[in-house]
Amino acid sequence: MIAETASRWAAALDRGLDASEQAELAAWLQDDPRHRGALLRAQAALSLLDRGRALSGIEQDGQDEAPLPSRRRWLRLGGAAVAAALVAGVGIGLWPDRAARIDTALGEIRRMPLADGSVAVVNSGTALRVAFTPARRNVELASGEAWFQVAHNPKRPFVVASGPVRVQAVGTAFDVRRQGDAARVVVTKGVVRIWTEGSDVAPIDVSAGHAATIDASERIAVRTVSAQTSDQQLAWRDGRIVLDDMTLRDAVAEFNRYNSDRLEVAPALAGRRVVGWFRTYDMEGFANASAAMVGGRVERHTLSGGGEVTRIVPAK
Amino acid sequence: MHSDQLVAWVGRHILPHERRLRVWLRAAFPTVDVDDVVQETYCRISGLDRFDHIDDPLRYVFRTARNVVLEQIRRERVVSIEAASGLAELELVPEPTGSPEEIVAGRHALARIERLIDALPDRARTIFRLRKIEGIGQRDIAARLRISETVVENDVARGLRRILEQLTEEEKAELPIRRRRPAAVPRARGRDGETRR
Repeated sequence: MIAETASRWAAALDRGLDASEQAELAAWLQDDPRHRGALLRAQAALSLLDRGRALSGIEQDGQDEAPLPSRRRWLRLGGAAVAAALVAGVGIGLWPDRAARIDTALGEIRRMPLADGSVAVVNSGTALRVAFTPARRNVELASGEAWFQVAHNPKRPFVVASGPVRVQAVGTAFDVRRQGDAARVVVTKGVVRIWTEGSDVAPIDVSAGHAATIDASERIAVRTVSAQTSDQQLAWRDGRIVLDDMTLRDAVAEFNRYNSDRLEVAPALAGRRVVGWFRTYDMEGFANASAAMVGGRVERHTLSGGGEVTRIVPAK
Repeated sequence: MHSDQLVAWVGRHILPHERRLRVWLRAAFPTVDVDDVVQETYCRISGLDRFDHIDDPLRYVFRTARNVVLEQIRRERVVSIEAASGLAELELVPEPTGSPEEIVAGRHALARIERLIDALPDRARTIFRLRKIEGIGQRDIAARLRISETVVENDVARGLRRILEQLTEEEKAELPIRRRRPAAVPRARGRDGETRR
């Protein structure tokens, strides 16, 4: 329907509009933002035919042939994931008001309500220790990653320790991912205060829509993240992995966070970029899709110590 | 309304590859509404103030379409994710604009459009030839063929509609089923025979 009207307008434009028609067209374009796109497409089709004339008879004007950009392959991976497939149902018991430990296995993602009304969603391969006292809510991230939605209570600060890095929240939601002594914090709601224990560097406040990385040298780098980016970085909470213009190398590393079987990619292919959505446990699907995409193949080996390694390698 | 430059740019660099974009979208995101994504993609392009900074239009349009899909998935998060079961093999490798492959693909696309014009009813075909090949204005065509200008305009509109429709239908004919597993899927390959490894 839109395409039909757009074609009529394109034909009318081709002969020229009078004033009242121009007003009518302007009104039509105002009606629906999609109309502009449809008209552009129809007009482009007519203009394409002009090019047909150029090609069938005379020279192509050739003014557009831009210098060759790099031939780097730009790959896309289509994929999908299932929401919440891996997220364990809401935990039954609340964590007691004393030190408690939670260790998630590879591939396990656990949603844990905490005793104070906060919620922690704990990613695969994570060790977390929770120690609540009447005055403080301390959480220690020994390894891995967790997202916290913190119940508001200014009198009882909620502090996550990731190595020497401290992240304090008051009524907020944020994610901490530990990488050795370094940490990445994504703030999805409210404000958190970040500092490094024993450092001279002043604490820094980071608000929603920002991510901070704190490296071993105690430097804190803050950048803004779009809602889309933070959704993607936190897609693991729903058992999803979102690959958006990521190298195969990084994508493989993501899958290895969730699976005990190893995935590897040949160096020759590691730099290819992919887009896609997957379930965190669908390593095999990812391997097959990647191999198909880059024209490679998948090799599987059983390791002597048990377990499997899957390799994405170039075709022979 | 769009500048002639934008129209020409889209006609030259994007429309000839729309079928490829559709095939790719279908493969990459098996459950999205391709028509809707393509429409939204044109819509975004129509909002461009400047486009001379885009030195690779083909890649630009694929990226734009990709963004449209990701935003849609994000917006209707649960629904889309549930629906989008199944991985799609994906090969998005539009040849860079200006590369020999791209020029060849563009010529193939034009040849296809020529065939579409040939398939139009007699009068419409004649009008299209006069208008586009000979470059004669609608009014002069009407005079030459001794028909009213309205008839000429209607034929242009209808012919155009048909060509646009066929651009869409071809893609649908080409990929009649939705793919579920990449292993069972043939490589993405243009009908033009150009192969992307």
